[in-house]
Amino acid sequence: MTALLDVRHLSVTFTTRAGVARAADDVSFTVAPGETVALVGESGCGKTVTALALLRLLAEPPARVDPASRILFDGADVLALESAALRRLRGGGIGMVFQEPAANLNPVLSIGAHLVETIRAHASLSRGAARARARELLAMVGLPEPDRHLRQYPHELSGGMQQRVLLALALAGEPKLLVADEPTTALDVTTQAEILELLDSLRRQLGMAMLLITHNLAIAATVADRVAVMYGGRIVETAPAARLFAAPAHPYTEGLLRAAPRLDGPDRPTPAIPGGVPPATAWPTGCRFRPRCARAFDRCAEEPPLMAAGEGRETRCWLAAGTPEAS
Amino acid sequence: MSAPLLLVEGLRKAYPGARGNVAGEPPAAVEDVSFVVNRGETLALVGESGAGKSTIARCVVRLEDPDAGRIRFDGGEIGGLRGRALRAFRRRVQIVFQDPHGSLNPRMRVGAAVREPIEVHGLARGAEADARVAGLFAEVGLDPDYRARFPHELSGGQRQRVGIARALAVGPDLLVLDEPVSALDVSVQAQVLALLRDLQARRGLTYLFIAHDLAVVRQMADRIAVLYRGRIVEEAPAASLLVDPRHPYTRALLSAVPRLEPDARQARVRLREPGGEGTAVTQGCPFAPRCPDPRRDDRCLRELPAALEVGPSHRAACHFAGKPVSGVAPSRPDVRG
Repeated sequence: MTALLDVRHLSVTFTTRAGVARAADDVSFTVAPGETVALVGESGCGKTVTALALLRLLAEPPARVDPASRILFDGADVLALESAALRRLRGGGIGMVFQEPAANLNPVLSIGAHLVETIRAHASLSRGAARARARELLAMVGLPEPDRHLRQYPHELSGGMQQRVLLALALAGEPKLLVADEPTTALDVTTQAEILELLDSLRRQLGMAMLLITHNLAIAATVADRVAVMYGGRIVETAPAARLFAAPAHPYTEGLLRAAPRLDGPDRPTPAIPGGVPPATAWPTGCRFRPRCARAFDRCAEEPPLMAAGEGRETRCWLAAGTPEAS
Repeated sequence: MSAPLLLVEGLRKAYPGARGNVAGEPPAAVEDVSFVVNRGETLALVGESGAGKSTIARCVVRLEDPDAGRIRFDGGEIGGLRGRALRAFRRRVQIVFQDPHGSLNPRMRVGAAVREPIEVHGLARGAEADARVAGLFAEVGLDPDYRARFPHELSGGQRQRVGIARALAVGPDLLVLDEPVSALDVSVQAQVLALLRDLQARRGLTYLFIAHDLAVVRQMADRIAVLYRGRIVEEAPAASLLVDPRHPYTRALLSAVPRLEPDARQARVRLREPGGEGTAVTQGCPFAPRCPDPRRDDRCLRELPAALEVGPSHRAACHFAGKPVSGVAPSRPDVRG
């Protein structure tokens, strides 16, 4: 199957006072039509920079996207798009929702004004027709009284309802891919569960693909078909979700899974990974996880490439090189 | 067991007229909250935003005065404490906040931040104070060389260790931990939680642990109290609450926690009024507007349920807490739709 999104060798650096931060380093992955891929990692791993680069939302400078990077979306070369085509891509081909819904809504515009403006930016509709479409979108994202909500302002809605409005805005352009960056992190757990369910059912209903950015492995396990784990600006493991969670191949993935508190796991905290993430200006040489890895050995002084480990899995770890049948 | 170290009875705190600003919610009100924390144990207060967890924490450490009710620490009422007695109380009860970045002075070296309470309370001076600070850094797993750093030069996990060291500096008996790991990454979160457990064992500390994450709470708490809109709706030893939740809100909360096994996409308890945070009520059960329990009836809308004793030290404030859902074992979440 041809990928809907094909990211190849994406590298993004930032020049800071402390030096050059290699925020995303040679990141490659694909998203097939209708597929949900989760990009998982802790803060500073490069997942958000990767998401922002997809829509060319990084300010350059201070960011610098390496010229060898390629982002192909639906056949188009995203990094080469002119401004008009780029506008059509943002919200048209690719919709996006972010972590803080309130920060992405204009407090002095009604929900209706947000939606009508966005709808008319993507389709030449009359005000009346756009309003009807707005009502439709609000119903689609499960807001119970579309007519009332159209007249409301962002502060009159709860966090969960605001996130539904953002989702309606993201769907206005009928995107083929929805990029959701920590869409439930600011929400309560009961609301989170509702939003995740909604995202998944809309994706099915509309035949969209989804790229979910999250720090929460359990959220990835709940909604993703495939998971890419990032560490130190690099993808360190990618695998079908079920396989990744059943048998992680990379020691970082394994450590994260052991450290994550769970209702059915050990009833004592498990500090499975010592230390912390080094700054992006000073990644360790060799394998970037080496200083925190309990299984590091001589060869880890050399950085491992992403290696195929069977059944759709790839891992950036020399341990996989020794055992061709990694499962 | 001897008398509880902390006793909270009928605590009420409201913020009339508080609106919050564009960015923030007003502080949550608390209504008729009672609990005890015994020496050496951890009681977790669990709830979502607006449940009143932090309001309770602030009253317990006397950053706020309650409108009604009483708080007794080690047998003495804290409401009337003044002067030296209040200082003595502050030495025995300390609080650790969620965001160490916000609670540490950005222009003070972290060694000085830990030293400050030692000097304020007159516990040590000069070289002896230095030695204590170095000892505290080592105790929380920080290289004593870090004393010369500023907060922004530390990672989130290191800053939280400083926050813990500062709280320990005066040798407290009770630590109020207000979402101490929610701002941290998973790998660091586990390290800090393990440290807190070690410190508790080593120093015989008592914890009031405030969190929204039941999976975290499960690793820390001896007993759990679940709050909803300012009231405790269920309280029990951790194991009974997690295995046999009796309040429909506790069941909903448990079922909403995402699970790691993709096959266990569990049947989630669906609340009424999805998308909202629930309508506020002036009478009846505060959870009634969102309650998914099929047995919900007029009484729930009229009459505030009292806490029922449903098992050993297990109380739930639901009219139906004593009776299992028909056809469904009480330990199973109530599955709808």
